[in-house]
Amino acid sequence: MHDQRRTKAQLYTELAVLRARVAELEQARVELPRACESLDQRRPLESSDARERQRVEQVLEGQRRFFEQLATGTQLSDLLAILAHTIQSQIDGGLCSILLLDDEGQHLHTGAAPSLPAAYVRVIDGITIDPNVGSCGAAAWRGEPVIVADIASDPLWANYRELALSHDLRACWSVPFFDSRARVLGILALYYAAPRAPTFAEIEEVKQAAYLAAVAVERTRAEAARETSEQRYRLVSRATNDVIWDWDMVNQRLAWNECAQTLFGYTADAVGADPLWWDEHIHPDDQARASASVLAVLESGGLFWSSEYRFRRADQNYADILDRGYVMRDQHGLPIRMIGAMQDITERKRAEQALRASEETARSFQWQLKTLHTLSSELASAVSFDDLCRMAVEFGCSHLGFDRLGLWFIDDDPRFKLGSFGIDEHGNLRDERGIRTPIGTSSLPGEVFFDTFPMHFIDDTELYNDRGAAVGRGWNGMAALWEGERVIGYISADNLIGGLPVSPYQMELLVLYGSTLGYLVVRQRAALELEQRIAERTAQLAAANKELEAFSYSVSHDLRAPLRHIDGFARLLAQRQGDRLDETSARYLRVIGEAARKMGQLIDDLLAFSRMSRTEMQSRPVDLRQLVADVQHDLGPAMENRTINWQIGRLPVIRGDPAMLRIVFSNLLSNAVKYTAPRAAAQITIDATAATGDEVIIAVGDNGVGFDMAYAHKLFGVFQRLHRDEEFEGTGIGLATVQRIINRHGGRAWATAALDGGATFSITLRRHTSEDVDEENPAG
Amino acid sequence: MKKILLADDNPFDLELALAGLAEYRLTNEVVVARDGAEALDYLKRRGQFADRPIGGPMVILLDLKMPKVDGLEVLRQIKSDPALRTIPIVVLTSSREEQDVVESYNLGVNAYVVKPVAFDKFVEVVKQIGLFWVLTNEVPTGM
Repeated sequence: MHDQRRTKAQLYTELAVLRARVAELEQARVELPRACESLDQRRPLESSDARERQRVEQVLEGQRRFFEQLATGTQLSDLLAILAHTIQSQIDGGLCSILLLDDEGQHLHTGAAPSLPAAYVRVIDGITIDPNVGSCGAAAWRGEPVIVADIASDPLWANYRELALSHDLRACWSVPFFDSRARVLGILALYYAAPRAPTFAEIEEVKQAAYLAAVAVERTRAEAARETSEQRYRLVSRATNDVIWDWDMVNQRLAWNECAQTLFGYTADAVGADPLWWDEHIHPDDQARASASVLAVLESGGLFWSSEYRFRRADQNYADILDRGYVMRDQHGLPIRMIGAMQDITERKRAEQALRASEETARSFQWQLKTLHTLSSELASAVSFDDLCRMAVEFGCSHLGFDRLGLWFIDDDPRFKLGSFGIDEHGNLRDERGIRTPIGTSSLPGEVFFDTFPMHFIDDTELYNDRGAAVGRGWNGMAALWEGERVIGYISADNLIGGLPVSPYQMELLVLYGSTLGYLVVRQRAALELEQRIAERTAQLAAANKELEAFSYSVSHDLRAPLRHIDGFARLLAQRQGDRLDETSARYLRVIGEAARKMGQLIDDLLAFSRMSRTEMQSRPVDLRQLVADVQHDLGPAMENRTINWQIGRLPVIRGDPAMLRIVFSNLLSNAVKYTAPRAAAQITIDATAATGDEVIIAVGDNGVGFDMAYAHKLFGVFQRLHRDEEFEGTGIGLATVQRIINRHGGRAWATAALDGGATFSITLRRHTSEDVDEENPAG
Repeated sequence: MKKILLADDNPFDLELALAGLAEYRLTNEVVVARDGAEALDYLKRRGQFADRPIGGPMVILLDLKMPKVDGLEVLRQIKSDPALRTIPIVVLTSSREEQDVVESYNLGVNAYVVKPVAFDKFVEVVKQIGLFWVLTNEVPTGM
């Protein structure tokens, strides 16, 4: 590949050289017949003359030398001198002077005058052109040949006649020569010591020589212009940091400016002039592409080339290069030279890459933060502390890009740490819960735990497994888990498995993850404690309930039996003695029975009351109107021989436990009936009024004996009575039961009364609404 | 004539029940079991009752809280025995506890009566049982 390319490149430049030569030869071929023609014209006249043959050979020799010198870049004055000698040998007795017009086109300066007297030349040098001054000045001004056959008589020579004649110059033929744009470049003149007019052939020969002079001047000036531009270029290239190169394809030379040394660090000797030096220093991966791109431009006839590639510096590192070149072509469009500049864009590329990397990092970090947010809500759903730790380790590895994670907590004895979960050296989740190891205060975890170093990061350190065995090297990060101001543990991460370098934000991520986990752990612990406390309380309550049940069962069963026996046997005794008992004894037996029955009633009421707080409560729609009607019916026997005026307002359907509410209204209505007994016409009202929201107030009022409001606070207490038993029978349980039931319904119970002025008992209940969802069997 | 089986461990309660039944002159027809085991022995004709004539009682008055085998267990065994489960059973107990009531009915009791403290009411209950006994006693003859 490399050799092929080299051959091709070489071929190109060689071809260019050859074509240039062909072009020159072509031009020579055009010029040669004209030269032959002029020779042929003279041959018949002097062909026999051996001296003439010698002269012709001299002319040819002169012209050969001229072209040779022209090709090798000889100085203009030397070229012109050759021309002068040649024309002098062509035309016998002629003294040649070649004058060059200055840049302003005003003055003529001597280019070559090898045979003229020096004094004369000094005077002529710098003369101003004028249509009427001398043959040369006139020829230059007019732009056409001026032949003065006799200086002595020609008016053109009026000002310089004496001078010319004093140097024995009597004739002067002046022929101008032009540049490619037909501007006068100078004059070629031939002087003679005697008056003389040229032959046609002689004029042609002078014209020929003048033409060659024009070639010489033009070529030299072009050369000079190029020289100037190159000097300029050297100055510029010294001012720039770019490496400027100049590839001469004709000679296969590659020139470099000083920057090749300063920028790439090569010594002047090391910078190769062979174009291959360039190829050899391009990064192997870029070589083919860079060379091909040059060839493509050269082949396509393009002028501009640019490419980016890596170029090897003296320190063997590669510099990123932007290379731009300009192709110079000859008149046939063939590339002969290429000039370019290599710009070192390593820093720019590095900066671009760094920018891209930091943007990438920022994006990635942002994404990881989002992930962290999602993870924390996921982790918040952990059902237990262990579950949380396990999830935290697994998620951290699968979602946050950590290789290995481990969670450790401070033991109750702060000299020890407790394991939870971690990832082992093979990348598997490991249950490390049983592990309890001492924390050295000087160890890293120790510093995290006790010191004000809540995080640690070490690159390239020994990595361990949970048994404390070293398993490899890599980076290791640690971040504290906080409970408020207190460190409760730490999370540790490393890159043992994949060995990837730490990403720029990994430590921040670990710290954030640590604080998130700390918060979640604390939350989890609090939830766990709360749950335990609730469980304990529930168990205590259940136990207390069970005891109470057992107690009430035994009260119900065992306490009532003796009472039954007292009453029963007292009654049997009364039956058995019959009339034999005196009145007092009979009364004693009756009291015994009554006392037993009373106590039985107390026990029953008390049991019912305690049952109220224990039994499950239902929530169903209860039609109060129906309930009140049922209770009234039950109270039938108590209302015998009574005049009671019932006033029952519109009663709503409320929500509650039908059986319990029946007890409530049974109590309230029976109380109303009982305490109005002294009234000849009892008045009992039942009303419902709306309160806030769904709440309704049910009020049961009567015109009974009432009570003193000073004792109102005692009203709803167990066994609290405001009346003596002889006045009104009762156990003091009823209103306590009412209040307990209403409280369980979320309502309130209160009473207003006046001594002997009636009483009103109010309760609040919740109205049944259409939004309430009924339990099964809604029928109360 | 078929018997009334009265199962109760409390002697005073037994005495009161018998006194109540005496008013209807039914005392002779009462067989007393002092605990659940005795009741089952009677029903299944074993132990001290192994030699008794064939035939189940007309009705069983069953206390729940008894030593050895309690009333609910006796009830369970009677109702799971095809030969006995048609015998009407009246639970006669001091317990008002709902769990006892519910459990008794679940096991298939025919009536659940709470022993009242007042003797008058107790007699009233026994009277009802007596009536029940009379009625049920006549059914077979009518058939």
